[in-house]
Amino acid sequence: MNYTVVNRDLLVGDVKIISVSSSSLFLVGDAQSIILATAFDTPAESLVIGPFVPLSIS
Amino acid sequence: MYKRMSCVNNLDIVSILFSSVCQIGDSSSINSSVKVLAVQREFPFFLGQEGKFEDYKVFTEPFTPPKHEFNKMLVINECPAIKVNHVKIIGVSSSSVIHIGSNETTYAETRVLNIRQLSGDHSPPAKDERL
Repeated sequence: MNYTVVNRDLLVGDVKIISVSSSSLFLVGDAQSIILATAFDTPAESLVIGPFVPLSIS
Repeated sequence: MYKRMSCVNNLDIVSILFSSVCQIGDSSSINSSVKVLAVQREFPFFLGQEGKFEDYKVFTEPFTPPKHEFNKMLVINECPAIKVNHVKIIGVSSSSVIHIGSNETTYAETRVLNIRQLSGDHSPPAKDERL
């Protein structure tokens, strides 16, 4: 697939960001290739109600 | 490839943590990754050496990167600069990237698992019961 991009004047005033988190990217410039991946898991077994049991000791 | 210049007058970041990057200037390749095992307990008992990443699927399953769709991309830069006056960021966390300038490739990976342990009706273990 052929793809043409024409970049003309780009002027930005103020940028205010609270948080950039979990494999995010804030870029002022050009890029060739960006790959960002996040896996966030909170399965049912992640809520444990009962007596204190430690996780496996490493 | 001909790239543009990035001009930022003022950059204000409060905190950068957990394998995050703040890059000022051009870069060729950035790889950042983080694994987080977040354990929240009703009573704050932590043994220090607890938890193995291999025990959980979320840390071991590989990501399959998407294929590039644009084989031929022609870029015409009519203006040689990107200008930004002021950037204010409070937090940068978990393998995130703040980049002022041009970049070839960026790869960032985050894996997070949350575990919550509540005691129910049980009282916290006595000091000598702990390992």
